[in-house]
Amino acid sequence: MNKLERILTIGAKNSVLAKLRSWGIPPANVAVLVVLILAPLVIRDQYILHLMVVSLLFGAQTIVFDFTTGFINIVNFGFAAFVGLGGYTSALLVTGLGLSPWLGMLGGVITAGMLGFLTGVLTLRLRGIYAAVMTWFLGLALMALTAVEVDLTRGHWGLNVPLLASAGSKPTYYYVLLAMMVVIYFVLRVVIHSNIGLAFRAIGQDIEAAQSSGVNPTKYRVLNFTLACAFAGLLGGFYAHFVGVLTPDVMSTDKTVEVLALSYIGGRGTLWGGVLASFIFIPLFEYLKSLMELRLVIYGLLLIAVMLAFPDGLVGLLRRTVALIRKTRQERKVSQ
Amino acid sequence: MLEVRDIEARYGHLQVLWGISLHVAQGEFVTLVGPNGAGKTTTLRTIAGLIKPMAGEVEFMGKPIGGLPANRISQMGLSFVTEDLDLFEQMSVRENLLLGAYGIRDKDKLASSMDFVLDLFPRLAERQKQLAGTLSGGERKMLALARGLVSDPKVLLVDEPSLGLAPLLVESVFEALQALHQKGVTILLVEQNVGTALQMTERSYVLEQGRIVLQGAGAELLQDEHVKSAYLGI
Amino acid sequence: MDLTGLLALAVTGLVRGGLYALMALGLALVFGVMNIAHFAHGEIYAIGAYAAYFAYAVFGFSPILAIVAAGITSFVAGMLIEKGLFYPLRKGSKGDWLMNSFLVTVGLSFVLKNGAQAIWGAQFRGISQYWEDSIRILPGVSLAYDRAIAFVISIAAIVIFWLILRRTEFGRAMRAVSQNETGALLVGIDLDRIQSITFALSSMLAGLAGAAMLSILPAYPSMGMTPNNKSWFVVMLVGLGNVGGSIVGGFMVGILETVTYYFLGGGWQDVVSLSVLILILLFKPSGLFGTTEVKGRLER
Repeated sequence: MNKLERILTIGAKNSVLAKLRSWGIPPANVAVLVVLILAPLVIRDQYILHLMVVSLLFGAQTIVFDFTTGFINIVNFGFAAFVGLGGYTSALLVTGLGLSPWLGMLGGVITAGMLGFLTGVLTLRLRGIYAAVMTWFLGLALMALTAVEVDLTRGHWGLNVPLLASAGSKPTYYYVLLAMMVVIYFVLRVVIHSNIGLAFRAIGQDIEAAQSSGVNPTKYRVLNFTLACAFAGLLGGFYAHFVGVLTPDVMSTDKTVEVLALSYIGGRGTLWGGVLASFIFIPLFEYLKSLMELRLVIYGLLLIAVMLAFPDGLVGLLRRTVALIRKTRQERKVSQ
Repeated sequence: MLEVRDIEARYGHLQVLWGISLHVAQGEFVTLVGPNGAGKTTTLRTIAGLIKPMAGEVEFMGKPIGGLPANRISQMGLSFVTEDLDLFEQMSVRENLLLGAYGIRDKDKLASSMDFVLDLFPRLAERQKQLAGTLSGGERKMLALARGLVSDPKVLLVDEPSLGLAPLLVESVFEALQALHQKGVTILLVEQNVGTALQMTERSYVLEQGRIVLQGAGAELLQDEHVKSAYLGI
Repeated sequence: MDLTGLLALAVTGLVRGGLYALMALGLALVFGVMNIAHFAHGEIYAIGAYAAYFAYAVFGFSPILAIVAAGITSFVAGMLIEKGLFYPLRKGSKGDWLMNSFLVTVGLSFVLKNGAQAIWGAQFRGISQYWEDSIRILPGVSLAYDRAIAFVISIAAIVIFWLILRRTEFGRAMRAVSQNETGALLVGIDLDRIQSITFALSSMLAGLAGAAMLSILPAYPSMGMTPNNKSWFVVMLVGLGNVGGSIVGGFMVGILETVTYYFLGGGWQDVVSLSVLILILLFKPSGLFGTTEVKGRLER
């Protein structure tokens, strides 16, 4: 290869990566996305595909959850209730009014978003733990309401929900959910990197200081909750038409804690950390069947470990490892 | 009694003390003066164990106490009356005093200590059942001092007792301290009121920007040019 | 409703209230002294219940001994948890202590709840009764011995604890730590020791409640959820960390709940009480008896 050809090829490679970087999209994310898109084309096993859908579902939820927890610093401890609300709304619109599941899911977005708006307003005067407890009790109240309105929701008897696609068509579910997750991630990421995101971080860290700098905590808290809960509702709608049956238990605190654990284990404030954690742990526990029972115990232990020793979660560990590798590589270059 | 050698200490991320050395012999009444932010409070807090020194040694009665937790140091006989007073607001005057004597097993000793302290501060004796949070400013200071004294400490550290008090009360606080000194209590006082401090006590240290810049007998320092211009406005 | 019915309702309400007060007391204690929002309180209750079950039904202890054993087990469990979890968290934690400790207890709750399931399975471990018979308080109003003794245990535990808190040096030390940690250090109190024993005591109270109620509420892995929710409800209602208020609040909630249950039924009872709490949080976040002090950090 002569000098000119070399320069051209290096230039080409650099420009693709450079273009991506200039748009604010880390190449690593694109690579992961490509893998995710291509995966079902390669994998035929229905069971594995099902696992991947479940992983995506949890992953997507952690993205939404982290949007609130990691940035405005409020733990939405009733998160599962918003997901459940979206699910029930969609299910009832479809079974009751005969709408298509897509419209149903849109309905789920709207109701969950509205409740999210309300929650944002309700928690305005509350700090930290009080706000978390408020959302917790809201979730409990919603779950109790769902259980008691048996005429509407069939309560604990279970509500049968029409499926989105035929039960065997796992790739369809996969791609629908993947599309949803990508859209959610993209939208939330754009918001986070905008001035709005800055405002979020400001009120998350020090609400007084933010206020005196002219940031209106009300506006941003409500915005964050509304957006996050709307997306939670969307995912709930998907869940309803994927699993095919709903009970009030989908709103239980346990379900919130699962999402919370994955989110923290992945890395609070990273948005995508939970996706990483989901794709590691959900298949892991499936394959190690014997560990299945201990799955939740291990989530709990890992959550404790994160709080005690690894506040940055998996993403933090990853970043530190990468930095360490880069540093040793540089040192080696220097010493050569 | 109390020996501090070249201690360095941090307040948060900021280094505040850059090698402080001082000593207080038994029965002495020594003051530490200096401008705001010089590190006087940090010095006391480090000696008392609320802050861990980065370097240097602190010795109390010949034993090294640098790095020991504050409760251990308190148990050894060093009482610290902070600027914030750190009273137990929802407890009565009596309960605060009882807590001052935490760990004292000897019933008789406890009784005589309580008597001594209530004699010294009759206002407190009148208000024994009153909640600390409802006391007036002067009474709160008295309570804080009393609580520090009820354990019959070997050394008493006091941080800016006159702060925020009306002049009459300031006088009575200093009178109480003098009375204690007469009784033989060893005192290290941090005081912003430089003139009074220097007059009242035998020896003083002047602390500026984390370093001891002057030390000596009160009378000498009162004549010192730097002291006169910087602190006495002369 | 006639007088007998009213009295029966009152008795049920009081018994329930006593249990709630006992549980809420333990929670308020942890909040007030250690400043921890303790989410695993229900699981400690479950530890007591399981311990009593094994002591009574498997090892054949007498009822009283079984309950005492459960109390001791929970005390020890609490001590171990504090030293293993909260002590390292205190030494190493940066950032929002309240949220961090809360999340640690969330993790703990998950571990205990699912650990119990993994070890002992999901089946109910119940006993039909500790003692036979009931006592007749009045014509037409009788109370099962089990419930009566549970009530007595609750009251006794509350009273003894209250006396310890108010009259002993140790109790004073606990209150001192909850009001001003620096002040506590300055008078020579060993904070770590107080924290350990406080948590152990709180656990013992919860464990006693779980043990006393075993014949009414059998032991199963997720049994702690309801006691946890109820305790939290009471504590939030009266104001976090308010120990005295939590006792009164426990009785209030117990009685109110019994009345609501009678008139509205179980499902709506939850909705109503939760809605009431949400309203109260909106207008007076510091709770009914809450004041802004307790520990200034509560406002952060």
